[in-house]
Amino acid sequence: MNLTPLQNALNERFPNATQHQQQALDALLAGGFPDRTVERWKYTRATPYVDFALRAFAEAETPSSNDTRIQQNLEQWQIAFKAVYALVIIDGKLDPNHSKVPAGVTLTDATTAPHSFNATPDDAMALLNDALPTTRIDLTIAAGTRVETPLHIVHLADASRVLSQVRITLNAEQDSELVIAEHVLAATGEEHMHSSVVTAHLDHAARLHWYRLQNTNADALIATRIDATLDEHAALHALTLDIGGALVRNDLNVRLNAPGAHVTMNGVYLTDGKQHVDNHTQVNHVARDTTSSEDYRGVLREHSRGVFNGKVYVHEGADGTDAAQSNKNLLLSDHAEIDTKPELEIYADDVKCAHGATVGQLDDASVFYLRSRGIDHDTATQLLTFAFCRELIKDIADPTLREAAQTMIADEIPNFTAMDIE
Amino acid sequence: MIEIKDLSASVDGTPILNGLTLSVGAGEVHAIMGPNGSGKSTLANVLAGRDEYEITGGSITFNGQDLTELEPEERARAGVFLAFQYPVEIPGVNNTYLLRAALNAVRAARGESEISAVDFMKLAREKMKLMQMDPSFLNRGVNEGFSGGEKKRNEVFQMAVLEPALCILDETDSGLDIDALKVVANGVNALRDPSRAFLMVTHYQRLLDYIVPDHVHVLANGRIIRSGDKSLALELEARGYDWVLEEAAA
Repeated sequence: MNLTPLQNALNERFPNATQHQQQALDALLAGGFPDRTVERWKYTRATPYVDFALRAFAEAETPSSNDTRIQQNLEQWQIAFKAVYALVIIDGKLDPNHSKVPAGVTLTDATTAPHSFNATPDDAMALLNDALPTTRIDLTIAAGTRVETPLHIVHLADASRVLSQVRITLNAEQDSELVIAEHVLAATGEEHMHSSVVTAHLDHAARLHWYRLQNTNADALIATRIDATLDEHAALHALTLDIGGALVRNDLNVRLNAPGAHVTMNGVYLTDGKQHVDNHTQVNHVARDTTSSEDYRGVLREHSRGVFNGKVYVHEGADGTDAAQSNKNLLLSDHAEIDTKPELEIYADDVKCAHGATVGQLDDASVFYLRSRGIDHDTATQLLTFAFCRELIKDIADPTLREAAQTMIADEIPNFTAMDIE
Repeated sequence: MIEIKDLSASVDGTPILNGLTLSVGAGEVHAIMGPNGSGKSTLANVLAGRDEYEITGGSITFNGQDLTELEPEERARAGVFLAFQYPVEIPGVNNTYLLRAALNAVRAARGESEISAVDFMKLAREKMKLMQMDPSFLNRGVNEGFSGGEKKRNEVFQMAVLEPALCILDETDSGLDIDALKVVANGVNALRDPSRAFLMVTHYQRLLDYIVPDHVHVLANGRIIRSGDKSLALELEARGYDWVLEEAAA
């Protein structure tokens, strides 16, 4: 697509754009923005993101936010999650007053700190994030720090048609453990765009749990990306739950660089209306004796569409790799669609890789079993739909977080409540 | 309690039951035996209301009601219970949740109030003890990771909690070792009651050593070709099915 209008708008609006931003834009212009001839964007249009950014900058006024509304939303959220530690980002800006991190975790707002450009990750959406104003946050988890209480990252969109961007660099030092719960929320029903790029490094035996619970409004555009590198015996547990948004694209790329590294990549998407949710994942088994386990599950209703592309790449010499990948989908409407593509590329001999994808309806035998116990047909199907998603939620150790995630799913299933389900 | 008259049913257009007639009264235990493919499991599934089975003729009357008019869940609430031959695993749906929802559905149909959580747990524990099951089973997904024998025990455990009027056991003995068989039989015998009827589908006589039937029927080609008392089962055990089939054909 033609990016000149975006370049002009940016130059006009941000005459003092940093050299870094300019370099990112140049790189974006040089590479071009992907269209559907690019394999990674075959099923998902990237243009709405650029169009949104262009419109956002073409508008003369700075979007205005409503402090009372923000306060109310944060309070509601606080009650629901009983959050102790949080990073609160409102309309793309870090709010230090509402933010608190546990001991052993260092938070730095590096937005205005000088930094040099490097095109990593080399991806158009990441470059777009770099080229436009973005909030830069550095998080360091000190060696040996272990925190069970989740650190919440709240992205709240309040201002009208706001474009909020964040870029997080996380460094988990050796033997550290942290649970991060990320929330993408909107205070109004207005269209907004959220773009996040996370770069994480997990040192020797570091453990990181990254849960993203996305339940923003139906008009939102979401683009997220996590690139993680794992050292010896490090473990990353990533879970993404997508419920809201008109267009969602999640990229998760993990490199298992040393023996004993492990990643769990799970995702749930429940879509209706004309929602479009695309999950692209790639795990690189670089070193020997590394393990990965991936399970993405979708429930697609009405005219919604899901995309799953999961690549497992086993490098030469990565013997002893154990990789399991699965993508299961329930298509609950004749108009819903899923494009699923599990990919395996293996350049080592001694590996164990399993992958598979299913698309279908609920299992008739299970529905009948429940009905034969006196449970009516509608309740049986709702229960099975819920159970299908819940399988991936039940591993969340923190009870408040787990129950909140379950409630988010239950609320998406018409006439269903998760009461007493434990 | 249940009157089956001239019942015919097919699966995917293939006739399986061909004019089956059977009457089971309250307090009675009936065993349905027969060679593989004779229609035993089809009969059990038709009574429970499985969609894949199409009734092409005859009638089923349960306590004066036309059973074929009822949805599977309505049959369950009216007191029909099928202990499945192959109980499905349903990960993500907790055993306790299912059982409590099932019990409350049955209670509501009887005009009773919902059972409290405390009373329910008390009842569940008592019945688990009867079935010699580990209470931790309650917190697992329905049949999730259960062995074949554990699944069968769980079926009879559910039956014990729900206290149905008509208990249909579809090859509940298959895949059980002798100790498990005794536990399952013990559970069933504890439920025997003048107001309750049992229909046991089985391939082997072995189960009937522990649950002694009042009537034994031989099913072949979708109809009952011979009925008798428990001595018929013993004769079948000793002589096989061929002689009954030959006599019926003659």
